[in-house]
Amino acid sequence: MRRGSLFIRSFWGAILLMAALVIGISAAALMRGHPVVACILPPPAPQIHEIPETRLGQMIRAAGEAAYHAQALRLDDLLASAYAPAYAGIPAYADFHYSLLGEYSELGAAALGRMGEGMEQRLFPDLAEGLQRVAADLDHGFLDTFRQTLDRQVGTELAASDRPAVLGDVTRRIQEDAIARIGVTAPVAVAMTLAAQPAIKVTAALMAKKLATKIAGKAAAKGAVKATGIGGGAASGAAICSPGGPIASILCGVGAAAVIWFGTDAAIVHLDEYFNRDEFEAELRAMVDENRDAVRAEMLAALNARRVATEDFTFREAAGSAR
Amino acid sequence: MRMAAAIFRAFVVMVVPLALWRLAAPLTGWAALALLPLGAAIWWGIYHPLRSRRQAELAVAILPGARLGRWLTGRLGAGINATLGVLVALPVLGWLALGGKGPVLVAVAVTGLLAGILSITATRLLSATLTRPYARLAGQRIGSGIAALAGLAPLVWITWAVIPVPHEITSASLSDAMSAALAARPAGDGWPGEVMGLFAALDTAKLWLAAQYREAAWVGLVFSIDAALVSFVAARSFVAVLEFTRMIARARE
Repeated sequence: MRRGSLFIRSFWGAILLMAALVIGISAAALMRGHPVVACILPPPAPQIHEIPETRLGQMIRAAGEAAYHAQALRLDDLLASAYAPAYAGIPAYADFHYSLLGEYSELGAAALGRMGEGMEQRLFPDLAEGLQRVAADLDHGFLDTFRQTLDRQVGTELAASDRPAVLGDVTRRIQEDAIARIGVTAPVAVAMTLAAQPAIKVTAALMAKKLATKIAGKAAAKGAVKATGIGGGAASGAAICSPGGPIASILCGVGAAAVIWFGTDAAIVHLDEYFNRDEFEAELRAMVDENRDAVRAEMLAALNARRVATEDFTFREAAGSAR
Repeated sequence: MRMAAAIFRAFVVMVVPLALWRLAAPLTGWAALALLPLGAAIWWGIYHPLRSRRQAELAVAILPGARLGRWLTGRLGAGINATLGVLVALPVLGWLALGGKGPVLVAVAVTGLLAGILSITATRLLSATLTRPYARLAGQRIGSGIAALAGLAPLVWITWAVIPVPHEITSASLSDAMSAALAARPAGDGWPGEVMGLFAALDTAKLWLAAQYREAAWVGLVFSIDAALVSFVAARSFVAVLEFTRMIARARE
């Protein structure tokens, strides 16, 4: 009984001691920043201000919204500079297209099935790098605006306090954590690496397909003109050189055929350029526009993913948004 | 009035060690010492009713003066059961106290109090029919079981609809999410931190799974299993602590 009594006393003693410790530690935590004895001589220490978690959550969401809208506003200008070389290259590409060298290069590439690659290299030589720069710029701008907006909101909250106040450890940690988190979550650059290069390839391939159809049609039309022209030209050439013997006749015939072959090609290419160049350039411009719009939509979606990543959620909300 | 006093005492014995553990665990691993009195109370609270019922069975089964009677006392079985109970209850309660959000803690506390009230009431009702060792054990099991089932629904609801989940868990891989949870575990270094790390990893794995498949219906099952473990452990532990404090009160009288 004595042993039992000692055990019971020790047990309740331990519980009471722990209760005293809990109350003491809690009181000490409450007293932090609220000294019991007022200090008169030194100026009052700045008040430590902890922003409630729900309010901080609202601020983080608002900063995400602000960062999204700021970058969405910049997007058109950034894309315009990234696509400027592509637009500027359209007349040069048309020059190449309406030249004999261009004609034969395109025919060769079309025959090898590599027209898309050639088009990508000539029309969009630096576009992928340009878009990566735009994405990196947006990521950087998003983080900057997010940080500035959050800092400004926290500053406003501190300024509203009646005494000079400094930010509490918990709030500062949450703020730093939110900034660090947003710095690495769902970067636009990663989304663009996955989306931009394939989009450029698809556009180049589409352009190449349309162009290949045109070239094939043009080659067929020229074939008929050349067949009669070359036959007649070779015969005339051979007849003119016939006094020089049979070998001279053959050489003159081949020379005349070659002159007529290339002469016909050059004439048709120039005629085609005269009538169709403006339409061709407009078509190229429309295709680049289409590609730019697709990339713009991808970038806006990636920016929005970053904005959404600033928000915490409950599973109920997630289930609601999924429906 | 006596019931209220008994439940209040049990509540204090349950909450004070857990509160001290919650406050001191981030500072030192020695905070785990605060859980020892709670562990002892749960151990005794499980051991004593089990041993009493086993002894009642053995009193009928074993002939007076039999040699084996000296060995078959029911202590070993009851001791093993109580030890297993403590090994499950203490880490779960420790993790709950450390990482549980406010609404979850309130729901668990209400479940515990309900378990205490129901177990005392059930024991009283059964005492009219059963002998004391049987009535006590059956009353405790019925009381804690009903309270745990009643506490399950609010716990599932709170986890599903009230507690916010960080959004990055939807884009992180499982290993990244678990590494982040282990790095941020609140119990610091040392073996208590390691044990809590295991719970942090399991909890994160649960959240990750639920976040990845949040449109699937079976996600509810993940929450239910987790909430059932918490609810049953909290109810059973509170009833054990209540039994212990009532035993002490009876010994004093």
